[in-house]
Amino acid sequence: MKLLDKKLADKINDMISEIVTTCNKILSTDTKVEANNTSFNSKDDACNRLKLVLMHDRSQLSPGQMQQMRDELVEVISRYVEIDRDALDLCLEAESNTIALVANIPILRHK
Amino acid sequence: MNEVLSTKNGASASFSTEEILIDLSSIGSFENILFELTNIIEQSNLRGKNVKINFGDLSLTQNMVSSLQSVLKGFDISIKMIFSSSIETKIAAMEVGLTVSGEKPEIKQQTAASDSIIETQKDEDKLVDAMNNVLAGSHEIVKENTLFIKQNLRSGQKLEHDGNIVIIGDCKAGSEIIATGDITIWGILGGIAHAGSKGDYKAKIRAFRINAIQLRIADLLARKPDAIEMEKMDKHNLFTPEEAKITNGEIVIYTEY
Amino acid sequence: MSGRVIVVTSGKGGVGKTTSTANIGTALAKNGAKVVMIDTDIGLRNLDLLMGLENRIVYTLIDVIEEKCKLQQALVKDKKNPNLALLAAAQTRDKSAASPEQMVEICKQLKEDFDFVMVDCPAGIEQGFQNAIAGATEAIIITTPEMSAVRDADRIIGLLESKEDILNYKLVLNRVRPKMIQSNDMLGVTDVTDILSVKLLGVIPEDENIIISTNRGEPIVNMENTKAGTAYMNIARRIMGEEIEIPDFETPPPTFIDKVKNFFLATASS
Repeated sequence: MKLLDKKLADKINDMISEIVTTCNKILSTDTKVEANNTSFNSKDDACNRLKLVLMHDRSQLSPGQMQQMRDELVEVISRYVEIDRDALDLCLEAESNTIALVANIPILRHK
Repeated sequence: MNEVLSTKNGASASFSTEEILIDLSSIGSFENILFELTNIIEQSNLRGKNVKINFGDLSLTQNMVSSLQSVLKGFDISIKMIFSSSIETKIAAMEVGLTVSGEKPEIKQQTAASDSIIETQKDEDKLVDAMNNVLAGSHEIVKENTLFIKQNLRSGQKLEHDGNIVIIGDCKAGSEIIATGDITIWGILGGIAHAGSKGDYKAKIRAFRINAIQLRIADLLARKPDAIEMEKMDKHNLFTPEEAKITNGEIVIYTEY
Repeated sequence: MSGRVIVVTSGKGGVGKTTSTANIGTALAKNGAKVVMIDTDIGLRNLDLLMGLENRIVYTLIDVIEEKCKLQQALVKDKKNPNLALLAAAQTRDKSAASPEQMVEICKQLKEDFDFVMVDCPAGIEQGFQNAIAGATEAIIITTPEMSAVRDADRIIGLLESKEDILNYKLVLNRVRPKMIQSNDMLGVTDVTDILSVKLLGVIPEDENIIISTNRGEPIVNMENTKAGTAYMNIARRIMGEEIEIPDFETPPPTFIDKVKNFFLATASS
């Protein structure tokens, strides 16, 4: 009995979504707005940009300082191992309330 | 405790927790003022501070005041207020946008004179006394000393003068004019005007249009009604000169003489 | 009696600090508390205008500090509510006219007589800000769902956290447009609270009546049935300890089609 109900519900659901899409096709202005929203989501942009800028603000490291730290790290590590300088990735990551400095350093070969 | 730094020529700088006053009233010329100022700056750490300067009765031109201002700016010092008894200096300072006072400066001054403006508003005994004083002429103030200014006064600007003030221009909301004598404005009065500030009940305030937030004469106070008078707001082009004075213990605005 | 000293701050200008101070203050007083509001924006005061009290100011905060008048003389009573008073900022001076120590002293005196001392903070993080937060033990941070405002709020939170006297601070999200949030074109309420990791005190929807209330010099909480007014009233009641749920601005209201769907589903499963 329950199974039948679920099937029925699904059918109704499908039917309604079909009606909605047809309606949207007819009311072409409506679809335009929807398309705009799905292709360009300015809220997520804002969220991501904000998170990044706040991480830098909170760590009180300027982009210049980050670059300097990166250069110095490369110098120190290069004394021990040969690394791929261009592929070195250094960034700040936030987890809940703490900020971590994450470095990804591909080693080419041991010296 | 105030700390005082004096130079041998009689210039001094007093430091209190709230303010710094540089007293140059005994210095006779502009050149010496520059010299003394640099002396004081060298001997004390005024960088990034706001200072008040007393020029005494020395006459300074607008050029002199603005060059002083830029010299001080070079040391990262800004002028907060200027005290002067010279009308030329006052006008010059006003024109470069400085706050000017005619009173003798005192660090942390306490004035008891205008202690309770609002309370005395309804204090009939005091009013009767005051009116009697007016009749007896005991609060007579010398009225020859008139400060004449040709510019608009904007929000945040304050003009104080011992005598009458005449302004050719508007006084915008947020500005303040305080005179011991009369205040006459060839324009619209929108800020606060205080005439007869040392207790002259016969002082008057005149303007093309009195639209002031508050009017004060001696220790009386009148304020703009809470409801906006649309009638007055609409007629932008029609001016009827108005005069405010004390009648029967109240400040009354008259539109006809 | 020892009242609570709450500073209203934001970092960025124009996000609604003064409007919020006026309305939260008035709302607290409407709920029976004794409230005094201090405008610490010396040189650029506006709280008096929003309260419609600009023509009653004789003495200012600076006159009190310079001992030109007594504290009681400088307090301007509200037109409607005798429980509400304003201590205005001086217009013809600048921020350096007051010091944090002096503000602490004034707040200390005021909280003897009032349940709430609401301090309206100037924009920025310089001396004016330091003065405003000096005497406070609680803070309300105002921000809007815009990147610049959120970033500045984060800076303010950092500064407040480093100050031991501030025991608790909460966020008010102002000028929220539910429709833009629902279409994912505006930072949502949870987005902002997550990014700032701060507790939410209330959400104020964008409301044109705010402009009307400012024009009239009458806080919006005194107007009947406005969205923003209700939100401010709820904030005041939350401050006074009541538990009032913050309405959900994020999920869109059910559309007609949703309703039809739900109806069918409900009948099908019964």
